[in-house]
Amino acid sequence: MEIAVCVKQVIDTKEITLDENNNIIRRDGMSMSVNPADRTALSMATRLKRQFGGRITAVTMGTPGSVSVLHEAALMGANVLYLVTDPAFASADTYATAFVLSEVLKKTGPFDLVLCGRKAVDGETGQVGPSLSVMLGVDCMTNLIDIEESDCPGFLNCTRLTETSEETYRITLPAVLTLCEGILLESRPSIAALRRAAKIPVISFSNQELHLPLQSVGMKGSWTRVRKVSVSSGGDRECRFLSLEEGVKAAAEMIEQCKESRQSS
Amino acid sequence: MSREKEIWVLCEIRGNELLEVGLELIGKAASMSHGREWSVCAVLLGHDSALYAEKVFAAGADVVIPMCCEKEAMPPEYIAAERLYQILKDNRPFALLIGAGVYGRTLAPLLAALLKTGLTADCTELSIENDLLVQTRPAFGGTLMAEVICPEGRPQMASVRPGAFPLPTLKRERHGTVRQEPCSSEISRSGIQILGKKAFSSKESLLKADIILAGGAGLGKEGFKKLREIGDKANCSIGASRSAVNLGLAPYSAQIGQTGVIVRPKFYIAIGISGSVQHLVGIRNAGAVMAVNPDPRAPIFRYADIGVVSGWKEFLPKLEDALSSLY
Amino acid sequence: MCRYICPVGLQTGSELNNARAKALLISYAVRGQKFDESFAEAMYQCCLCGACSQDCATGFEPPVFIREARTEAVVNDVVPPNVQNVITSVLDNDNIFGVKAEETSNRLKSLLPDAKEKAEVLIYVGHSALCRAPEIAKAFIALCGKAGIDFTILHDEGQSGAELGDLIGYVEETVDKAKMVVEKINATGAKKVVPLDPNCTRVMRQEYPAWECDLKPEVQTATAFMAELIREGKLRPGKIETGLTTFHDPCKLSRDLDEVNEAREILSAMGIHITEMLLNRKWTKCCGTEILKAHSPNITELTAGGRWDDARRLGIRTMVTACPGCYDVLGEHTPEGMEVKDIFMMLAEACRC
Repeated sequence: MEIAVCVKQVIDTKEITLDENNNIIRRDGMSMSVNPADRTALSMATRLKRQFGGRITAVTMGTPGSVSVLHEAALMGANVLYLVTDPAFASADTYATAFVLSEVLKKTGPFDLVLCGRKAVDGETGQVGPSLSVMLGVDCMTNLIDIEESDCPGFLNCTRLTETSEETYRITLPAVLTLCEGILLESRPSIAALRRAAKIPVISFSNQELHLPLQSVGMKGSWTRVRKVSVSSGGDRECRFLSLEEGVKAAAEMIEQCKESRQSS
Repeated sequence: MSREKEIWVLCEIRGNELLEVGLELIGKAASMSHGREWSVCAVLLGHDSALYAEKVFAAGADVVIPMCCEKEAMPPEYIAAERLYQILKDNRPFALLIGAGVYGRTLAPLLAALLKTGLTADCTELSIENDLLVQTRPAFGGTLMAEVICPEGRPQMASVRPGAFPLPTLKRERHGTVRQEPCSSEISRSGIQILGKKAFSSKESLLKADIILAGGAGLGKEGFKKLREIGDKANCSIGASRSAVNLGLAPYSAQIGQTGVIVRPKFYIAIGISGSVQHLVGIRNAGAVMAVNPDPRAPIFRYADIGVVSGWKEFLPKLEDALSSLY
Repeated sequence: MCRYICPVGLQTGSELNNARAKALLISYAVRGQKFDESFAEAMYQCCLCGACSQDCATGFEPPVFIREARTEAVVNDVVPPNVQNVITSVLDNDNIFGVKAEETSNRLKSLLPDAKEKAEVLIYVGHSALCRAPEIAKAFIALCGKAGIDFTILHDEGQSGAELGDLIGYVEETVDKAKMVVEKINATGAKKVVPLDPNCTRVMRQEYPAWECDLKPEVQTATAFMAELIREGKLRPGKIETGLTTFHDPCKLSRDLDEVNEAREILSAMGIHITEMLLNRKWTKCCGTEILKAHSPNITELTAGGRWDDARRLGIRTMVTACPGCYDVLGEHTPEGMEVKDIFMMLAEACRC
C-alpha cells in the first residue's frame, strides 16, 4: 500500500503537568515539533504498513527548518521524505496549502491512502485534509480514532468520533483520512530504527520542480487573508478560595442546582 | 435572481431536532442584514425539514431551502457538499455560515474547495465592513485572535462555534418563502458506507453535559474509579485532562481541551488538573468552574471561580458523602 | 548558574564539564557539525545529577538533552571505548559491573533463599547493592524481618532500565528491559515496591508511566519505607554513638524524588545529630555515580574527593549515605580518619538485627 502522510511543524507547547508525587515541572524551552495529530497519522501509517506492506511517504510544506519533522517522521516509520519549500509558497491559507500538497502528491503518486492529522494545534482549522480530498478527487473521512482492515480488498474500515457517537464506516481507496490526536500508544524507537532513519535522505521540492502558476500558490493563491492579529484576553476568572469543607458544600449545592434546572427545563 | 445580497446559513436537523447553532447563525445573519436589504436564506439539512420552516422564519430567516427529499436523513458531508456545490456554483451568495461541529467542520472545507472560495473556521465573531465579512477566530490555543477577510471568493464561508452568538428571540409572526432548489439525489461517489453507530449515552456526550467532573493524571486509577462512582450516583459526566488520557485513565472521548472536546457545562469541577493553556481552551465557556488541586500555585486557579487547595483523596470522599446525604 | 554547581566541572576545571558547554556542543551538532568522538566523550563525562537543572534560569534540563545526545552517540557509533564496555555489560548481564547474570541471580538467592512468590512488599535490591554492597541488602532484609513485614525479593531482577537509560537513552531497548521487570514485579501481587537504589526508584516512579509500563504497586523510597516503620513502632532503634556526622543526600533522592526529611528522621531516631554540609538537601553535590565510576574512575576519584572535602572542612568523621551507589563511590576514596556508613546498616545495628 502506498501511504502518504502530511505532517506539519508546529511550536511545541507541551502540557505543563505537576505530578503530585514528585512536584517536578518539566519546563522545556520553546521548540518545534510534529503536530500531535500528525503523529497519530504516522503511527497509523506504520500500523497499516505492517499489515499490508508498502511504503510510507511523509510530506511537509514549510520553511527549510521544517526538515526536522521529516526526521521525526523517519523515526516513526516513513520511508520517503519530501520537503516542499519555496518562498513563493509562504503565507498560504489552507486552500493554497492544500493545493501545493495535492500537486506534490499527484506528481509523486499515485497513493492508495493519504493520512493527515485532523487539525493542527496552531491554526486548528482542520481544513487541509478535506480540501486535499476534493483536489485529488477522492473520498474523505475526518475525525477518525481507528482504521482497520476490511474484509473487502481495496476498502478500509474506519471508526469516527462525533460529539454524540462513535460511527464505523467502510471506505474505498484511494481516500484521504484525518485522525484524532493521542489515540495510538507510541513506542520508543530502537537504536536500529534510529540508525535506519538517519540514513533516509530528504528530497526537496521547490517551485522549480513543481512549476505551479504563481497566482495559485502562497499568499497570491490564498482566498483568505489575515488582516489583524491581537492577543486575546484570557479566560481568566476571579478565584475565590474556600476551605475543603466549604468547597465540598459549594460543589454539592451547585450540582443539586444544575440537576433541578435539568428537571424543570 | 442574483444571490449577491443573500447570506446563507446551513441548519442541521439531528434526531428530530434543529441544532441550536443554526438558529444562532440565522439570528446573527439577520442582525448583519439590518438596514442592508439583504436576505437570510436558511438551508435545512435533514428529513421532514418543512416542519422546521416556521421556527426558522421566526428566528429571522427570509427564505427556507429544504435540501433533502422527504424522508431522507442528513446526508453525509460529501454528498451535502456536492449538492450545495451544484446549487451555488453559478449563482453565489454573499456569505455562507455553518455551525462548527464535526459535521460542519468537514462539510465546509469540502464545499469551499469545490466552490474555490475562502473559508474561516471556528469563528467567534462576525461583522460587515466595507461590504466584506470580517471573520474573527482564535488561534494558537485561543491565546491569539485573528481577523480574517476573503476579498474575492464568494460565498465568503465561515464556520462558527456553537454558542458564539446568542439564540435569537423567536418572533412567531415572521413569515418567509420556501424555495425549492433542484435536489439531485444522484451520488457521484458511493465509496463510503456506514457500518454501524454507537451513540453515547447522554452522560457520555460531554458536549451536552451540564455538569462535568474532570480528573487529571494525578488521580491515578483509584481516583478515577472514585470519580466515576460519584459521576454515576450524581448523574454527571466524567472528563479528563490530556495527560490522564495519555496514561490510559480515561478514553479519548473524555478528553477536554484543545485537542479534545470543548465543553459548555453549567458547572465544571477540575480535580487534580494543573491547568495548561490547552485545557483552558476546553473549559473557557463553562458556566461556573471549580478547581481542586493540592498545589496553590497551580495555573488552573486562574481560570476558576472557586478554588479548593486539596488533593483528590481528601476532596472526593467528602463530596461523595455530601451528595449522598442529599438523596 | 550551572557551572558553579556541577560536581564534575568543579573538580576537573574543564570548560567541557559543565552543562552550558554541552548545550553549545549539541547546538553545533544540530547546525551540521559532525557529532564525533570528542562530542560523545563530553556527553558521557556527566553524572546526570541534575544540579544544573535545579539552578537553570532558562528552564532547560540538561540531563534530558544529554541523554538524548548519548543516544545520538550510539546511533553514530562514536561512543568512547571505555563507555562502550559498560554498555555491553549492561546489555549482556543487566548490570554495569561486568558481573555475570548467573552470579547476580545466585547472590539474590543467597540473600533470601526462601523468597515467597507473592507478598505485600517487593524489595527491589538493584545491582549497585547486589554487586558492590551486598551488606546493605542484608541489613535491609534483616530490618524487614524484624519489623514483621510480609515481603519478598525477586531471584531474577533483570534491570530497572535506569543505567541503560542513562547510557543509551530512553530507546526501545531500555523500555523493553523495564517492561520485563514490571511483569515480574506485578506477578508478585505486591502492593508496594521498595527499591534500595534511588536511581531505580526514580525511573520506576517517573519514567515508567511515560514508557507505558504499567507497574501496579506503589513505588516507595527505601528511606520513606523505613521511616514509616519507625513511626509505626514496628522498628524501635536504640541510640548509636558516632563522632561528628553528616548526611550525604543522594542526588536522585533529594532532587528528582523531592525527599530530604525521611533519612534525617531515621538518623534522629537513632540519636544521631547531623552537621549539614554546605551543599545539602536539594543542593547536594553528587558523589559521581556508579556509571561514571564504571567507565571513568579517574573522574569519580575527583568528584568523590570533592564531596569528602566538603565534609573534611567541617571536621566530619562519619558520612552517612542512603544509596548503595554513593556508599560504593565515596567508600572507594575514604580519606584517612574518616568513614562512610550506610543508613540501613546503621539502622540494623540500632535495631539489633
